[in-house]
Amino acid sequence: MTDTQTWSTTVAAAAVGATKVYGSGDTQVVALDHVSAEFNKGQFTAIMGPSGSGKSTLMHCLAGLDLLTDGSVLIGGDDLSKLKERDLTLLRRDKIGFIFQAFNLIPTLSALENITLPMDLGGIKPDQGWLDTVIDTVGLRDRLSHRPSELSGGQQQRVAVARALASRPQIIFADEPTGNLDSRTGTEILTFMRKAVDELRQTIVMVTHDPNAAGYADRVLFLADGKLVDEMYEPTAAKVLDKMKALGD
Amino acid sequence: MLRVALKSVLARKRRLLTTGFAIVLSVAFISGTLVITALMNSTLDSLIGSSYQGIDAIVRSANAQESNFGPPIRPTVPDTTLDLARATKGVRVADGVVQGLPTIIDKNGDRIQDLAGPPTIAFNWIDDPALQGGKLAPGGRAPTAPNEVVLDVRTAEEFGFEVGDQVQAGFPSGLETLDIVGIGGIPVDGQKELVAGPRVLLMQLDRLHELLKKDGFDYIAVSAAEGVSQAEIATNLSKILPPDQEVLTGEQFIAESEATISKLISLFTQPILAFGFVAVFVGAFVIYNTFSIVVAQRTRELALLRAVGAGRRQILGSVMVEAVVVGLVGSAVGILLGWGLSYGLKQALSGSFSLPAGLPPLTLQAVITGLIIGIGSTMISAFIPGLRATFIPPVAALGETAIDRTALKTSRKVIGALMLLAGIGLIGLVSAGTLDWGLAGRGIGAGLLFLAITTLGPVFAGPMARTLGAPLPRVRGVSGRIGKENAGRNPKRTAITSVALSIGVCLVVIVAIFAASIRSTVKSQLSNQLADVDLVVDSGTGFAGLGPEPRQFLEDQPEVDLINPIRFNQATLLDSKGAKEEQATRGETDNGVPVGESDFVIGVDRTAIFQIAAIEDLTPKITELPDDEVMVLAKTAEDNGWKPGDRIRVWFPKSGEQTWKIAATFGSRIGNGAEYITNNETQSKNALPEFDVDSTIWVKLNDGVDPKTALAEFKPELKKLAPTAGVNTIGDYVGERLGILDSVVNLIYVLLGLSIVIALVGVGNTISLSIHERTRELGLLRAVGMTRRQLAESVVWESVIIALAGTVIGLAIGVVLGTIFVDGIDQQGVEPVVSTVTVAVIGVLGATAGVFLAIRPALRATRVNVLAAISSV
Repeated sequence: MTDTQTWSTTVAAAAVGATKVYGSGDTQVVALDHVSAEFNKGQFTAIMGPSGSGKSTLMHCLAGLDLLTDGSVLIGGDDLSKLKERDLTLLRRDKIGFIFQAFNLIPTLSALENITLPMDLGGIKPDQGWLDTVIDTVGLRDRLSHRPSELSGGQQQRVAVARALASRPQIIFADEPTGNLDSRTGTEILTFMRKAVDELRQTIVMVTHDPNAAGYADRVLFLADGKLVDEMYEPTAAKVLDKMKALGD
Repeated sequence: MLRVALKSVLARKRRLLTTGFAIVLSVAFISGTLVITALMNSTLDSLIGSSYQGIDAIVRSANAQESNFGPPIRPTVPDTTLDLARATKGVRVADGVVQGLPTIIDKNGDRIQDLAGPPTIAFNWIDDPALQGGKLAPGGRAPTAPNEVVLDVRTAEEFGFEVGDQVQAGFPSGLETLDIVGIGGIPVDGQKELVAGPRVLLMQLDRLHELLKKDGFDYIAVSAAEGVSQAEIATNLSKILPPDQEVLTGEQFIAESEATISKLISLFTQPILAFGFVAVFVGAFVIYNTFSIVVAQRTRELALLRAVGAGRRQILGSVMVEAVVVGLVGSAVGILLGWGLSYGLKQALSGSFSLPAGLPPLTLQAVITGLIIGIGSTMISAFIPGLRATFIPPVAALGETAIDRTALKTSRKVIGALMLLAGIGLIGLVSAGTLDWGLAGRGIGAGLLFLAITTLGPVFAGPMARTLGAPLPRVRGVSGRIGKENAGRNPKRTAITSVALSIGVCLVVIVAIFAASIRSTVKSQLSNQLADVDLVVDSGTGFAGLGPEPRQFLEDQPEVDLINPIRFNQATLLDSKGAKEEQATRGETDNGVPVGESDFVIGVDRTAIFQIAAIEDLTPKITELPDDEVMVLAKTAEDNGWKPGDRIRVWFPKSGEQTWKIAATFGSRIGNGAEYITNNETQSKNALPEFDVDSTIWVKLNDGVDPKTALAEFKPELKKLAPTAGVNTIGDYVGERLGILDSVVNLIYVLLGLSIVIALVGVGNTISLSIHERTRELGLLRAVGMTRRQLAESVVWESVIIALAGTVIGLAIGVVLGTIFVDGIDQQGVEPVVSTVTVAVIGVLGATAGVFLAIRPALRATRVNVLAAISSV
């Protein structure tokens, strides 16, 4: 086990023997089977696997949205299983950023208000310099006062990315962020996410089934049947595609 | 398609419950009232039928004078009429009936007074059992001596009187102590026990004449010989009777009595029904809103049906099926609930009427009316949302609308503006007197106004929500901001929900303004004008007046400076504007009776009145009111084109046509009195015995005498002399009158509360359904780090804003309408009074209601499964 010192400098989040079981007896479903993985700071990780592999479950448990049956999840040194519901909520607010596939934004708030939402919830005044950087990184300067219904799908996702970045979280979780977008817009979003990791030194964990998207990551984790089966560094779309096919057999 | 619709209905049972609630309440109210009305009518009808069944014809005076007190006032027929009746061919037996209004004193010395129900009646004892109509209970006998009386079974049971006891009763001539020689009642079909309707004293004829200060008979009851029909006997009688007398067959007499009772009952029940209909109106808004939301939520489902081939009529049908089911179930439950309510009402009324024991029978009328109203209002309210559903394009099956951004169609704005103008115009015209539609007209105008606001509502619902919620973001951060935005995000929905609430609030405010205005006028008039009055002796809310004893007693007291007895009478004006209008349509006479305008006249002491009361603007400043002269309210005189010195004609049943000179005019009513004032001697000359009594006595004590001391001294004596009297200082008297006003107003508030409850349920409904719709958004907020408390708070703010919007609108309209309406009731010269305290209290209550309504939906919102809400599979 790495010590706390290493924690604060290298590892943003980790799963240790993460297990999630639904039901009991004959109808038991093992969604996660003793999965252990570490996610380093400043790293872009993709989690991939066929449908039912447990990748979404893993991410939900990592993000504090779901509880493990066994094992633990650590974010920035906090063991999530030891936190009460309210503390989990605060953790999500202050230390984690989210990008979902769809329906990322609150329809009644403007783009800017959506971006600063987690900080407003916490009553924290955003760092204006950082906020400006984030907004300019995703290129939304002239859209700040618009409501989500006045933005295109791609623009909405950019707002989601900006929100995830704005509060300077420990780690950002993205659940199929390009799933609802056309390939050009999707590429745009992935480029921003890559920029966020390279230029702004964020940590991103992305669940995806799209080999192209995985190609933007530094590392890909492969899950199948609830277990961590493989790992790939410096992925390319082609290599990932081959690996997926192999796993499918 | 029917199956699809029914399945949809069953799938959303909870939604049905809250919609149904509105229907259940309003239908319960209406059907309950109908059931109890039917019971009262049938009970009283069977009583009347039973007691009058032996009468084949009656003879009475044809000179009827319309009365504000109830049935028309008639003079008596002389004894000779009885002789004539007895001599008529076909008559088996005839006897005369004299009746009057006594007040019975119970064993504690208190007057027996019912708040509702018929007055106590004194009759003469008639020997013939068919004509008598009642029966003696075993152990009693008829009165044979002047001081003997037969008492009704209800009063005897309630107050513990038995044969052999003595009972005191107040009559126009004074107080009497009578020996009870029998207890009587009416045998009604199917009931073993004797039943009593009104309280009754049966006495010897001659003594009754003396006590009532009457001669002759109020009517002659005739029983026909064997084989002679009612029509025959009536014809025979009318042949020999003088033209100023009329004959009714027994059937006609019963029908007339039943109609009078029915009218009196409806005077009582119709206002209550009116509240029921207000509740239905409010409920309609709630139902419309719910169905609008439902249609919006079912958009994808309905679009799918359209895509798959369902026709527009089938879509409309599916919505209407849901409406019919909800309406049917709601009405059925409502009818049952109303039935139960009627039992409660019956128990409450049992003090004044004797009603049969057990559950009142559920009438077909109540059931059918309840069903029609419940199902009908649901279907009507659901129709427009249903129609809107048919316009959902099939392509909508793929998308999702989060905010209602449908712009307001021009047609909608135009219709709304038109309704607004129509409503304002109607109210304006009715208030100005151009249109004589009275209360109904104002009601319709107000209804149009509310419909207009509903139609135009969405235009200002958004801005209103933002204005009301403006301080929130600054004060409560994101929770406040989100709550505020959500309140205004669907302007149509917010508008309808708030308008439903504003109707109830508006009515409450109008009532409050009325009450406050009347109250302050009553108070100031009584206090200012009667500032010199120290004590008041009154005859209470009963029909009987005071005998001569109180006046005599007070006149003898050294501490008393002046007394002013007051008497009431009914006069038919022949020269007023109203009289001329009546004469234009009905002619100068009707059945031998002069046609004119019927109104109150008050009698006062000819000199004391000017010393004891501060009469405003007395022109000229007379100090004595001579016989056959009258003072007229200035405005009335002006309306009729009269001035002091003019002579006007009036007619009375007792004394015929009189000519009065107008002695003076006065600025405002004295002590809430009438528009015409004459002196007591004139009054007595023209009044029938039952009105030839003092009603109230104002007492002015000598300077330096403390009213409270004097009261303590006089009261025991007065109560002994006239147990029927109420004796108070002027302050307490005014307080008592205001107390009665307050009770009535509070009752009205309770009845209005029904509509407000329905509207509040509507608000809760809207919030709940909105929460349900926004599941994903809620999940997102929780995922991103909103705590449960923050989320709950935003729901609370949303609800508070909507409730507050409805309250504010209701307050605004209520204040405006209330002021206009009060101005319109020119009757008592009442000035509108708006209490800022009341307005503030209502505002706070509205906001608080918003908080409470939000609690359940807020809790449900916090329990949203974050994962389920946001997961994308």
